[in-house]
Order: sequence, then C-alpha cells, then structure tokens
Amino acid sequence: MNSPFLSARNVSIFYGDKQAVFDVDLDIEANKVTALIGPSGCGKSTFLRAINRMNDQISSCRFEGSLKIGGQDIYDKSVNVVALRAQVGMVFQKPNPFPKSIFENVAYGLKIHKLTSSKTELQDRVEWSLKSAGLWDEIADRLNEPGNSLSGGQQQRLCIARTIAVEPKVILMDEPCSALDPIATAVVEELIDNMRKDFTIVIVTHSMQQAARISQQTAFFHLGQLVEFGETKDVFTNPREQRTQNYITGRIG
Amino acid sequence: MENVHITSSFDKDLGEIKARVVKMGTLVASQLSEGMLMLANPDAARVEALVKNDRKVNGMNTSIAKHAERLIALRQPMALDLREALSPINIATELERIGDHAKSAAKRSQKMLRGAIPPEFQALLSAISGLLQTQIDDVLRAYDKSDLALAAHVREQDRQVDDLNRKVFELSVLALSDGKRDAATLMNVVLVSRNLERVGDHIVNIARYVNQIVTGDDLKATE
Amino acid sequence: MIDFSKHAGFDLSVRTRAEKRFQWTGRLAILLSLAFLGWMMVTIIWGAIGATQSVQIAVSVDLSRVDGQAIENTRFGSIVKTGLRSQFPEVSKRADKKKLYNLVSPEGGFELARQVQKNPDLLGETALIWLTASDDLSQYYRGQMDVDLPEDQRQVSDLEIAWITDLADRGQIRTKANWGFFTNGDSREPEIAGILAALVGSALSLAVCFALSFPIGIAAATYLEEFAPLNRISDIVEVNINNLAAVPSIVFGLLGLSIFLGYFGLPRSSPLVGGMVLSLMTLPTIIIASRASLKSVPPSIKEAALALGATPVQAVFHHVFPVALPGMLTGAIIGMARALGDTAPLLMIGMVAFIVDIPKSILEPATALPVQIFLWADSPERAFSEKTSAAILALLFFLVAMNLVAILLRRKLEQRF
Repeated sequence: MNSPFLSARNVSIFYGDKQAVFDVDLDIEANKVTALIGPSGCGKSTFLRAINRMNDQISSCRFEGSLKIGGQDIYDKSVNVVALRAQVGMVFQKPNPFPKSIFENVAYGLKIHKLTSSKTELQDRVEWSLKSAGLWDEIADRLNEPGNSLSGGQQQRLCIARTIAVEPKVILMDEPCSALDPIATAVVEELIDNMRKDFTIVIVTHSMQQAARISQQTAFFHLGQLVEFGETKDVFTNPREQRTQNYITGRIG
Repeated sequence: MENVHITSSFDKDLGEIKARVVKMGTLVASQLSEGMLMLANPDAARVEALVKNDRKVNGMNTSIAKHAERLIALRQPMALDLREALSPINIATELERIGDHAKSAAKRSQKMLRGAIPPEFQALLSAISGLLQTQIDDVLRAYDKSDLALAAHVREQDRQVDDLNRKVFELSVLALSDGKRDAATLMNVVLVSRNLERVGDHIVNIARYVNQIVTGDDLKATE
Repeated sequence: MIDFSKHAGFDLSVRTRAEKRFQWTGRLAILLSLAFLGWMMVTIIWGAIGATQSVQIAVSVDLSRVDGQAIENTRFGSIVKTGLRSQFPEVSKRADKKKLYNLVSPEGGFELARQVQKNPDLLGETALIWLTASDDLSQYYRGQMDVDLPEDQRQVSDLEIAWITDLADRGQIRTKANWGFFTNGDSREPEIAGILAALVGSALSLAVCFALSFPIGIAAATYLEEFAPLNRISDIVEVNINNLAAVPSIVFGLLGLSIFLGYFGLPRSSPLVGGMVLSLMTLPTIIIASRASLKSVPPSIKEAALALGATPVQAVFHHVFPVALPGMLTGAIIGMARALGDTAPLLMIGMVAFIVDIPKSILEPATALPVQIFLWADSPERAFSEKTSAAILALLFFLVAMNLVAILLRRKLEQRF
C-alpha cells in the first residue's frame, strides 16, 4: 500500500464542551475517492471541514490530534490557512456560485492567489477548468452571464470548476449532489470519477448507493467515532462491524 | 440476526421469500419419500401424481427467482440483505434438483417389478432415504432460523450418506460376481443409490448457502 | 360526491365572517390613514396656492440722469419714489406720499438696481419698469384681504384702494408666477422672501452629513458584522448603537453646541457644524441598516470565498460587500431623508438666524429648510403663512425625491445579483 497522502491520527474535535469527533485514525490515499458515510450528526462533516480548517471560522471549535497532508501537519503554527485552502478545495452541499459572471467565478481563485501572469493565461486556465468540469460546451458562448442563471447541476459543476481552477491537491466535497436531480447527480458523479486521476477526493455523502458507486474506500462514522474503514467493495458486501452492517442495511441496532 | 429493519415491510418481504423456500423444500421432501415408496411398491397412478407435483416444484423455483429479483430491484439490498435476497435463488435451484432426483427414482420404479429389490439392498436404501429426510428437515430449519450449528451438523451427516452409498456399491459388486441376483435390478439399485447420494450433495450445498448468508464465507472454496 | 364543508371543523360561516371582518378592518385602517394624509395635503396645497403668484406694479422711472459709471452710488429707491409721484401727481400730503411709496415693495429700489445692471440699455431713458408690489397690495389684489372691515381696521386704506384700481385700469398691475420663491433668500418682506438660501443651506449640510456618516457608518457596520469577535464588548457596542438611534435629535444638537461650537470653536450656524451634528444623528441609523443588509447576504457566498483561500477581508470586500451595498445605500438615503427634516438639532447650533445671502461655502452662516419653515410659521403676517405652506411642499417634494432616488438606486443595483 502506498503511503497515505492524508493522514489523521488521534483526531478529536470539540465544539465548546461538546465533543463531536472521538480519536479518529484515518489514512486517505492519493488519487482515490474516499467516501465518509454515517447518520446525521456523526461527525463526518465536522471531520471533513477540519481538513481545510474551515472549522477555524467557528470560534468555539477546538482541534486535537494531528492531520497531515503530504507529511505536513496542517495545524502547525507555521501553516498559513489561506495557502492551505488553495491546496485543499471544497465543494458545498448547496451550489454557491458568486453573484458574478461565470468567468469571474472561475477566475476568482486564480486572481487572489496570483496564479496567472497575463490575461490570456487567465482565460486559458478558466477554459481548462470549465472543460475539466464538463461545463465548457454548455456555456462557452455565455461566459459573461451571471453564475446563478445556470441550472442547479450546472451551478454545482461551476463550483467544481472554480475549485479545480487553482489545482488543489485535495478536493473535499460535502454532499455535493444532495440538492441535484438524478441526472445532474449522475453527471457530477461521472465528473468525480474522471477527476480522480488528478486529485485526491474526499466526499461526505448520505447516499450509500452513491458512496458505493463512486468511491474506492469508505469510512463509516457513528456518534463521532470511526467505526470501520476499508475498501468500498468490502464495506458494502461484507462489513466487519455489526454497526456498519446495521447502518448499511437500514437496521435498528 | 435478531435485529430488524427500520422499514418493516422489508423484513416482511424477506420473510415471505423464506417461507416460499421452506414450502418448496417441504414439498420436495415429500416427493423424495414418495419416490422411495414407489421403488418398493410401484403404483402407476401415484407416479403420475408425483410427476405432476414435480411441475409444481419447478413452478415454485421460478416464482422464488422472480420474487428475489423484485426485492433486489426495489430495495437495493446491501451486505447481509443482498445475500439473503440472492441465496433463495440458489437454494431453490438445489431443491429443484432434489425434486428431479425424486422424480427419476419414481420413474425407475416403473421399470422394476414389485418386490424386485432384494431385502438387504432395500434396507440400505431405506436407511439412506431416512437419513436424507432428516437432513432435509434439518437444513430447512437451519435456513429458516439461520442456525449455523445445525447447518454444520447437516454437512457432517453427509459422511454417513456417502458411507451407506459405498456399501450399496460394494454389496452390488459382490452380488453381481455371485450371480445370485438379477443384474438389471442390481444396476437399478446402484443408480438409485447414486441419485440419493447426489441428493445428499445438494442438501450439503444448501447447508453451505445457509452458512454463507450468515457469515458471508463461501465454504465451497474452502471445504 | 363529497361535501367538503361537512368536515370543515367548526361553523364555516363563522370563520368566513371573521375573515371578512378582519379584512375590512384592515381596509378601514388604510382608508383612514389615507384620508388623514389627503386632508393634510389638501390643506397645505390650498394654503400654498397664494405663494405661487407675485403681484407687480409698473412704475415709470426716469433713468436719464443716472451715471453709467456710478451705478452703485445711485439711489434707485428715490428714483422709484419719483416715478410713483409722476404716476400720481395729485398726491401732496406727506402721509399720503408715504402710503404711495408703500405701493411698491421696500425692495423696489434694489430690484431696479438689479434690472439696470442686467440691462444697461435702460440708462438714459424713461422706462416703465415692473417692480414687485408690497405685500399689502399683493394680498388685496389677489382678493385675500377682508375689505368689509371699517377703514381703520383694514390693512389698506380707501385711498390706496383707489390708486390700485386706477393702476389696474391703466394696466399697470399684473400677477406673475413667483419664481422668486426659488431664487431669493429670506427677507423681512414676505413678497420677495424665497427659500434658496435655506435650500442651499440644507443641501450643504446634507452633503457634509453624507460625506461624514456614510463612509464611517458602512465601515463600522462592516467591521461589527464581519470581523468583530463575538464577546461582551461587541454586545455592549451593539446595544449602545441601537439606543443611540432612538435618542431625541435635540440631544445631538446640544452635543454639537457644547463640543463643536464651544470646545472646537467652529463657526456658528455653518453647514459644516450642521452637517456634523446631523451625521452624529444619522450614523446609528446607517450602521443598523447596513448591518441588516450585511446580515442578509447568504453566508454561503463568504464560505465559498474562504474555501478558495481568500482572506476574511478579501471575502468580505469582494463578495459580501457588493451584495450588501444596495441595502446600505438605501439605509443611508433614508437616514438622509430624516436628517433633512430634523429641525431641533439645527436650532441648537444656531441655524435659526435670519439668513438672506446664499451661503457659498460650508463655513458661512446658513439656515436649513425645516428651520426656515419654523421661522416663517412664527411670523404673524398673512403672506408668510402662504410661504410657509409653500416651503413645506418644497420640503416634502425634496423628501419624496430622495426616497425615489433610494428606490431607483436599489432596483438598479439589485439587478446584478
């Protein structure tokens, strides 16, 4: 097994006095899709948001343990959160394009991190991002229209394009398809599958079928603990833990 | 597994398929005992009834497969549930084969005269078929209650069936060399014994499926 | 067939009646409010009608002996008096002459001077110049005077009435649209008093107010809403700002009086101080409205920006701020509208003075529209009451215009989101 790209050890996360994540050890491999599943309030979203330190925005949130990406502890004092987030992108549950044009949406990340040095380079990068997100053909002729004039599925792909544009190493997705219809969901899932070769993807999902379809590895969280982690094909055909089995088959413990 | 689904209709659907399998198994068991009776005392009318029932057995196999297919399509079962949905198809197939053997035994009886089977062979055949009856009952109960121990016991008992079958073979060889018995009858006896041994194998397969449902392990590969 | 009303719970007709009652109560309330509003508008407009017209008298003035080089030294007042005497040569008694000169407004001389300066060709000739009539004459001519009273109780004597009739017959009296209302400053003479000085004073004060309160207000709101840590201090600040919004405006006037005028010694009655006092008053309103506007921006936008690696400042200024700006502007303009109409603080800092000249900078003494209305309303002369109503209309128009601007701006800026 290749050395994990993202490595969590003894990760515990607190909201004030309440503990949301209990002592999680998890290794996420590069260029794979890892799904985090579990019932509501089990800590999977909290854990996900710890990876790009979005929990820092919540003042009562406290992180313990170590989370390393590419060997670097991301909670180390020397790490600049802004730089980290350029390397770890996030796509949210509800598509949230900026109230600007499609072009500006994708270009924003490139602009603030000064990743391009000329106007043509910027345009090329925007085009590449939109193509990678499978959106270019649909909107190439209306780049100046506002981002939220698109359909739900297109908006989510726009958000993905925006995230891809800065070429992060890791892409975090928090239930990206839950607001989309089945066709749009299938399009996004196909996109995720294609993105795998260039990015490491961690996806939180409520749909076990989706996790089964698109991930190679699955982690099951329950009440803040990591109950089981393994190859997706094993977790969904013959899980080791009774709790996992109960959740997957919709049983009461 | 005692824990139940949150959606109770799921449990109901699974239970219904299980009930169908058990019903099919019970019918197949009675077919087998009837077939053995025919061997001792052939009765044309009863043989015809048995053949008719065999068609019923085949029909039950098809309907179990259809119900399982529907459950898989509508419920998207995972893990344990998936095995519980798929296995009835396999088990029903095994039961159907047992039914075929019962039918072939009954048909064979038509070729033999009443009381043609020598008593020592009749005793052996009765012993085998008696064992098989218990085994079918046990394995169906093991399936119904997900009883791993009972399933293991059934697999163990198959050894006895194999032993008895071997005895029939040896005895036949002796009797043939002696020339005291009718060769055709002896041949038929051996063939029937072989059929019964196959029935034993099918029963063991069902026991393995029962184990696989619960543990997810495929014993065929390891045993 | 199902009869739905059978399952409708308690008596359906009772519920329907209650519903109708409530709706009619609402309608009645609206009608009542509109009725009062309409009554107020009708009263004001009716009262202001008189101010739309000014009466002018044609006086024949002899400008032949006026030296073109020494216009400033010429006493145009006496030229007007001479002209009047020439039109009514039979007047001899001193008292009567005084009454005669009273036909023309005391401003007459200045008016003549302004006309000569505008039109130097008039020099060296005798001409018939239209000058504003006195307020008594105007009132009489427009039929707003009670003439049934005995002469000693009347404003105009019989003699004056005779002269007026005479002038009318000669076609030397006319009514003209009173544009002077908008182009003149205040005056002791109601017939030529205008609101320009007050308008300019108000405009300058508002400009100072906007320049001070808008940037400070939206900056404070942005900081408090987006960046300030959630602790007791922020809570205290928020409570205090909310309270300040409810403080009576006269308190801010007192503050201005003691600090801006007393301690800093800024010029009294200037638009600078007026604007500063008004901005103190408007700041809480702007801060509260701006915070509400910022709060209404969906937090998902800011989250998306942060997740891309924007710093909090970048996220706020690139994304939250532009979306909130229309709301902030609207809040600011509504705050301005309130500042426009607030008299009390301006009275405290001395804008109650009698200002004739149009202020040219924010440091010169000025007055404001609401103050002007207050002063005129205090005046006993009937002519001023017309002007008061007219000035009120002007103020209301200004307010409505500001609100319209607010609505248009918001609509235009909102389209982009």
